[in-house]
Amino acid sequence: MSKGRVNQRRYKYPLPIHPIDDLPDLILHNPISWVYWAYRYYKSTNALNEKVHVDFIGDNTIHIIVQDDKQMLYLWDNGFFGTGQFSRSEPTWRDRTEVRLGLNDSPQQVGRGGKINTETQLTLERVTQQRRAQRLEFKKERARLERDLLELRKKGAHISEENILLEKQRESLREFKLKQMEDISVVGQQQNAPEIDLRNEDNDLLNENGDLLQLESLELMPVEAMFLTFALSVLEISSASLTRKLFPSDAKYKDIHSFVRSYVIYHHYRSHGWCVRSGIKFGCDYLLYKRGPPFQHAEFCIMGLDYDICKDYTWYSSIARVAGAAKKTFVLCYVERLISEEEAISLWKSNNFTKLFNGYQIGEVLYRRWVPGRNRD
Amino acid sequence: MQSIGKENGQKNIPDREVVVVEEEEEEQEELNQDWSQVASLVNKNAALSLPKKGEKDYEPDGTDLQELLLYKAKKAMFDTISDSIRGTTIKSQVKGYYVPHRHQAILPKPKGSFMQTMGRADRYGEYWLEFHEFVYLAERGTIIPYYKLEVNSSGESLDHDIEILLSMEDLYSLFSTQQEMDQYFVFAHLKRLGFILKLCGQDTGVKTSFYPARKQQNSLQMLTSRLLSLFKIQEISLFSGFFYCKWNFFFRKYTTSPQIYQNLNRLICSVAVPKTKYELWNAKNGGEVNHKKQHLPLTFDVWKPHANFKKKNPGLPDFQILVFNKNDDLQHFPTYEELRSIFTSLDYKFEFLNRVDDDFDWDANSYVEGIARSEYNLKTSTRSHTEKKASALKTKSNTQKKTKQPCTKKRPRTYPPHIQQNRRLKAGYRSFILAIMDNGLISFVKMSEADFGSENVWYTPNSQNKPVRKLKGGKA
Repeated sequence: MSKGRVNQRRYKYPLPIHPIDDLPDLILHNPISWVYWAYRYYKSTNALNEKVHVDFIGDNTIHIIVQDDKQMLYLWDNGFFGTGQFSRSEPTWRDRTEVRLGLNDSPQQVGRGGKINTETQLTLERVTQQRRAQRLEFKKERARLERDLLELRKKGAHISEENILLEKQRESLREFKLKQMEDISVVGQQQNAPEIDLRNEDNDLLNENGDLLQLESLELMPVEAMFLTFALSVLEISSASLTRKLFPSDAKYKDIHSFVRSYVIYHHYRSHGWCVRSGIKFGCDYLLYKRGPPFQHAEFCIMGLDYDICKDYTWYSSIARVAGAAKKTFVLCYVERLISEEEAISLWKSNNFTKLFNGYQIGEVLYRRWVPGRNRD
Repeated sequence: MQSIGKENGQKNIPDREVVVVEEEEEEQEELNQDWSQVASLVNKNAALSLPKKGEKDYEPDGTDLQELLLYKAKKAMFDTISDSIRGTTIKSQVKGYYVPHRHQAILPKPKGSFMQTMGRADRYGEYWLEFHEFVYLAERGTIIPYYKLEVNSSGESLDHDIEILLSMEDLYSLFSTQQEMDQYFVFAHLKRLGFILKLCGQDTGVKTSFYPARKQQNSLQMLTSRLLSLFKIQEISLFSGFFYCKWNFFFRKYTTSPQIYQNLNRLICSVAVPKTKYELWNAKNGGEVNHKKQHLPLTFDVWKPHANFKKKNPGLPDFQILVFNKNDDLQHFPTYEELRSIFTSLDYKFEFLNRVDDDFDWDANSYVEGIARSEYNLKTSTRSHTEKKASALKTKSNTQKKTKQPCTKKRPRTYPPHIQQNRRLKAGYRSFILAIMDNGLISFVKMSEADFGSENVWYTPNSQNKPVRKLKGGKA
């Protein structure tokens, strides 16, 4: 089965609230099917049976973490929320370690419904590792060929001779690359048994039954947690008590302002179907993915700003450079408060978040470097 | 070169000297340099040609191949310029006189191809250049700059009796502000690349505008539009209220993900971005009410290089530029408020209208003196002589041919909706160019309005496993 198909099934739902899509067929000439349909419709609900439990750790900076294995995966699979603490984004530490220690004879596919076939057991981190090794090999090969060319040049060969050699070398490099591509698919299939290299510390990772302990947890950004509890009510904790955890009860407007702004932006993009993830790796506030990270690269870098703010040009220029170099479009997202500060803070205190967030307006401006030479005709 | 300049008894004329050529043979308007040698070097052999930009060797490889290539290229160029005569012929010399009280320059005997895009004749038949145009042409060596002293007190006639030859340094010292100088640098940079620029306020022949002459707006219309916008906001808060209630998912049932999304996206409203001709008109009318004071006026109208440019009737510009100096404490990067007021003040070929309709007719949709430009062009062409008529007809038929051709070409270029949507998101709508000056370095940035609020990108899973992307979902 192709990777695309697997992803298609695994990440079927874009949000942790699933639509009611298992209703039986309505057969028009069969009234019993109507009754059955109505019964199923009545019985089913969008709400989760068991809400996700979050813990708060840390005193000064509060970390919002999900520790349950199933729930971690659930939040990742349904909308790509949170980040595994020991992983790049998806919490895969346990799987990776099992592979490393050779424990995955009976792979624990908790939460994935065992649907994943063993062919694609290769974890993402491992794929990256392989790709890097291959790239290194390729560079070595290229350097070798370049040395050949230099030899020829030193002998004082004519340029036409050089060109012939260059053409040959390019051809051989192309073949080399093709061969590598084949190799990677072979490696992916054969599930090569890596040499198990146990360290003393590794014993501490196992419990008395020899099973691997789950040390990793999923950390949520405050805005993600807010979205999950306020907009979708997926978390156990209510939005009111979440905000009490994050901010002191006597917070002034200036304390909550940046959180509210971030949330407004986050909600805005989430609600239009984007998968919004932190953009810190690209020097901005958010990255926008269509569907999610496994499907496509992020196409937009979002930077949130107050509508009356102007920064030094260097600030814009640096972020735009980073975004541009990663082939992403840089978006300045301006947030304007339509209600007064006092009103905002009183809405915050009375937990009327709907009205609070509704009092903000968003305007977007695209920022792109312009090259005169490329815009002449 | 400097020694020649001193011999002529003229102080400080860098890079230029007047060679008096008496022979009749040399009467060409401009001296042509023989570049065929360089051209042959380029064409002969790809490997022998000038090393292309960016293709440097990674490190010195111990051979002198690179140096040899460079040397050959350089030598060819030097050989070429050393053969030709430098300077201008006295007959084709154009003198320009700076007139201080107007901060402009007058050309008594203008000639040259620059007249197609620069300068303007007033109703007395005198040819005037804006100061930045004057400096630019002087820097290029096209005209020779003089300072005209006005000698009213002595009672002498106002002929250009006392004239002082100006050096480039003198010219630069005549800039009235740092801002003007910054504008000049941007002007000169783009001009050298072939663009045609006009100051935005500069009065040029007839003014073309995207917007029809303003009629008195119906007060009733305004009132209703206001009321409608008010209603819109209220509707949002009324509907979204329940969704965020704790019990929402127990009472309401959603059978598809888009239903959930549609409820989610009512919470936060976004600024309305005009996307069609009529929305642009409305935004202009409404915008003038909201933003009476315009903070940052645009600096230049820019046209892409094209041969048929008519100074008198240039049509809508292709871009509009705002020049801003990074190191000036009085200037700053525009805030969102200012950006919006700039967006409303834009009046150019809104290129996004072409995105929907490739054959958007700009002449029919821009206005000169209150009538559509196509009509205006027709009127002026009928007014003129029959010869001109014929030529106008010719060009018209040409343009008709031209418009017909792309029709057949562009027809198959209809992209699937999700690609069109991606383009809308990435290119945005109204836009202008921001030119940032930093100690002589110019960077350009294109700022465009975007509207993520009216595009929905959620993925709808369906039983056939076929990816279907929703286009333009319901925005509350």
